[in-house]
Amino acid sequence: MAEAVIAAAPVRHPRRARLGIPPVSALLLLLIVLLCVCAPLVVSAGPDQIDPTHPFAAATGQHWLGTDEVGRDLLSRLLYGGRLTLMVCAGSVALAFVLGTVWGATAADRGGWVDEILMRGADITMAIPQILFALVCVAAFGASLLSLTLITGILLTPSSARMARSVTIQETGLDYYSAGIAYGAGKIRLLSTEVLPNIFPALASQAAINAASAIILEASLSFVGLGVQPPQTSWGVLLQQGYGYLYNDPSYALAPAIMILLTVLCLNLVANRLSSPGARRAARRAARGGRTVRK
Amino acid sequence: MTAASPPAPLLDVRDLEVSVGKTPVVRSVSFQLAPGERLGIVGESGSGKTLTALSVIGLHRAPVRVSGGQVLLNGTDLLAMRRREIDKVRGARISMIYQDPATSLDPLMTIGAQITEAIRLHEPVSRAQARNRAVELLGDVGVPSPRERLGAYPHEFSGGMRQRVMIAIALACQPEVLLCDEPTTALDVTTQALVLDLLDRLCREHGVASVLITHDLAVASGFCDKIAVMYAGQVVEQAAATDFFERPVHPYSAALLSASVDLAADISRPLPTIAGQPPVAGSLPAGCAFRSRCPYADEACATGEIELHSVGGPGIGGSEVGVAEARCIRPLTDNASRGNRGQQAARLTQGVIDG
Repeated sequence: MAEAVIAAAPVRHPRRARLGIPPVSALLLLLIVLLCVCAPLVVSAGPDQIDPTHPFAAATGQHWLGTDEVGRDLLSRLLYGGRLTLMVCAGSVALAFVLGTVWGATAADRGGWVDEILMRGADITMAIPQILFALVCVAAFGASLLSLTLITGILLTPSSARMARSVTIQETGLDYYSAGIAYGAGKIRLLSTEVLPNIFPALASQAAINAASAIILEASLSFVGLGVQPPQTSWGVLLQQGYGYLYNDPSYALAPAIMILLTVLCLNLVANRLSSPGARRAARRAARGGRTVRK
Repeated sequence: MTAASPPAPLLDVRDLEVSVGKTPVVRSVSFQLAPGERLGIVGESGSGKTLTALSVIGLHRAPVRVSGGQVLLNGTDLLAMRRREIDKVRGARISMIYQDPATSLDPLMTIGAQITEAIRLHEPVSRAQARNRAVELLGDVGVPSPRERLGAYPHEFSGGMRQRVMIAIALACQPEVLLCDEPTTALDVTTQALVLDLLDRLCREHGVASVLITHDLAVASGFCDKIAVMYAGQVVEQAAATDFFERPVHPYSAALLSASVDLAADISRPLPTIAGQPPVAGSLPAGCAFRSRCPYADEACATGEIELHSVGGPGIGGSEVGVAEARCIRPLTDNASRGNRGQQAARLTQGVIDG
């Protein structure tokens, strides 16, 4: 029994961890991304290639997921649509990461009234209903891929800022930060070269959560016609188009829905992994490896 | 520069006032440090030792702020400097060692990178030159096979070794003043002695003046030339180390000394303590802050601000500092302190552990 207690260290799948195989969620995510990015290699039919003679074709060897109302290949549309969705997702997450980190780190570093103003600003931004905010922005700036990315990015920034602020405060409270100042290093230098690598695991975890939100946000906005505009296609657009034929061809709407579900699930699982202590250690190890290689 | 002190002070702290919000926590602290001199600041927890050191180098953070005084390093006021100017002084001319070597190194940087960074912050040397200097420094502080260890991360070092690395970083640019904030508190006794020996040797070799902050009187007695005792945010006694340990002047110093226990102490008897509690910052009594715990206190102690003034004659042992200074109107003058030390200690401290 005593041994059992000692052996209770929470290492899931020890063999896989030892072999350095990433978790299933990460692998699946990679597969989805690769499929979408390499869509032209995976499917021969273009997403806009019309074949009016075969609308709503069932799944065949030629069209794995069948065709839509004007005979376009659904698999092709799903993968090409995924490209746009992932592009919006990546763009907005990157935007939120950069803006949020600067925002949060500034608040943490300045403290006092600057901190108050910045963080209350974040609270206010988070209190605005996302769809409503997007609606106003789309009305003001028009619906385009760029504006969709910007809107989503701005909506995700406050949560990144909050995370960045809390971990920066935690990290700058440690002696190595004030020692750095005592040895004459500037604050910006310290924050970017020493604090940032140390808080990276937390920021990456937040970015993964943000990515999941971005996909849902893109899908919702496109579904209500405020995001990606047809004839361009994304998972949200596909879902909306398929919704119209839910009784004729359930797989039409089901395929993008499953893709959204899977991607969001995987992103959340990856985020969960990243924020667990073991993963932070692994991430730190990885960061170290990267540093040594660079030298 | 006054003509009174023969060697011009390297570091001259004048009437330093530090407060948290509106509450004063360091009150009118002054001390001078000649080149190569070592000052020990001792006192209980919360007496303002660390805040004094942090404010000297400008590392205090809101809500702590310096509300008055000057910190002159070679005549220039560090407190009046702009950020960019003080960045050039920190590390290059005045440096600091921290209490906890576990957190004072960046866990994600190799120690080599951390030492070379400290060098290259102040000196326009190439990466390779800085690396060579780092190897020398590491060897100097007694890290075995320094060249190989440059690529190691802090977690691969023991506490004592990390503190050695910290010392190497602190001395990387040959500062004139080194502030040591309880540098050995987190280390075990053996390592403590080794690290102190190292500091002692390096300070002597490089002619570094140092301020050692500690609550360990034994550490201070072995390392320092001068001792400043802090109580409730004030320096209550300042004297040459030899004089101080021979015959403390302030009743609080005497109590502190007789409350220290060494291996020769009889453990069957209750440990000597100073009765009562230190006053709370912000609600200090008028007059002497130690009054309520002092066996010699009378009504006169309760009125007016007591200034730090010289007490007694020139010091014994031919010390340069000569006279002791104390913030006390009933100092333990020669006849009193030479009279019966045992009795005096008994008056100052009481065994409060119930037998």
